[in-house]
Amino acid sequence: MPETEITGSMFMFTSTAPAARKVSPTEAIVGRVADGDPGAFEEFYEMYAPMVHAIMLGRVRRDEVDDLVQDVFIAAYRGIGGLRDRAAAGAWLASIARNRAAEFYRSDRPTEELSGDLREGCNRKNEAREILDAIRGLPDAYRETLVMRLVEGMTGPEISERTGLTPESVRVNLHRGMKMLRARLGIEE
Amino acid sequence: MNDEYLWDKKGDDPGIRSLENALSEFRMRPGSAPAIPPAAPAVVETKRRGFFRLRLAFAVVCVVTAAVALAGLIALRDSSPVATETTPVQTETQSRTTTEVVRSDPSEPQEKASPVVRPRKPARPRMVKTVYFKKQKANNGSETGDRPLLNESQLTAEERHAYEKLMLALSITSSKLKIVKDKLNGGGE
Repeated sequence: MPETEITGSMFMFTSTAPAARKVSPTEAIVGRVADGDPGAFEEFYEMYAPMVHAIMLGRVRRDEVDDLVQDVFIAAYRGIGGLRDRAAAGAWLASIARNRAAEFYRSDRPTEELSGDLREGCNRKNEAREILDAIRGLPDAYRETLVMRLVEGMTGPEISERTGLTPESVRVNLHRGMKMLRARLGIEE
Repeated sequence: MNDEYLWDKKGDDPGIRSLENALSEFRMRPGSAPAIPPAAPAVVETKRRGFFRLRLAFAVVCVVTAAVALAGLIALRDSSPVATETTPVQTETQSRTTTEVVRSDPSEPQEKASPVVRPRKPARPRMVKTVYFKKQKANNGSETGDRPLLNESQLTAEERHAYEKLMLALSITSSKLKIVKDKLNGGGE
């Protein structure tokens, strides 16, 4: 074999070698948070707080949600250094939120939220509360996705990006969840 | 139902929009990220191990002291000759006390019986060691020599300290038991 062909094939080999993996913005922020950058932690909070808020709102009382969101982010800050797959930070954070909500349920004394009639005396608030209760009665996957979409105002692609779910899954969850919610609320198609 | 509006808010769906409007009151209010907690100080592994060793030594001392106290109480309660034949040390002690009891017979004149109780110097550590070796021989049923289980030259400073504490506790306990025993024997006069 002529020498030129050998060098040519070697050149080809080196040129087709996989390039260094590009770091996504999420991974970069997580890396900076892990390094203790307070500014990065603010960005991380702004990016994921609506998702965590939605997960909590679907599970615990409204007056406890804000405190629990803060707890989740403090726990995340403490554990983010050990996170191996930084691209999956959203799914990891969501699992922390779910565990924290479950923990809260176990330790919380059974209490009843005041009805809208007693507290606000406003029909519109009653209606909102009924809708939220109906969403809370849905299966987990539908509940979280619908709260993110209808309460937090996130779009389907944003939900997919934050939670780590595929866009197809989010689309299915939104469609089926919405259908079930309409049925529960007695809204005809 | 307009799936495109549900997915990424393209187009319009009055039903979904009314749900969004109703639920908007539950939306997360913009706020700052929680204050970052201070990093926990790194724990030095050697200190933890040393603390564990100290706790272990203290626990051993407590257990051994309790065992010795219990054995002493049992020996005091069952003052029959059969129980005192277990070790030569105890037999010797028992013979002395028996003699003392015989001397303190109330039928004899008071002058002879009075000088019975004499305070003895508590050379306790030596006695405890002797008991320990005798018990070991008795349990094994064969001569193992006078080789102690603990070789003091191989102990670390902490272990030697714990060992010395243990010996001290045993000597104190034994001397106290001896005083009690002498008082009980002298109380029959």
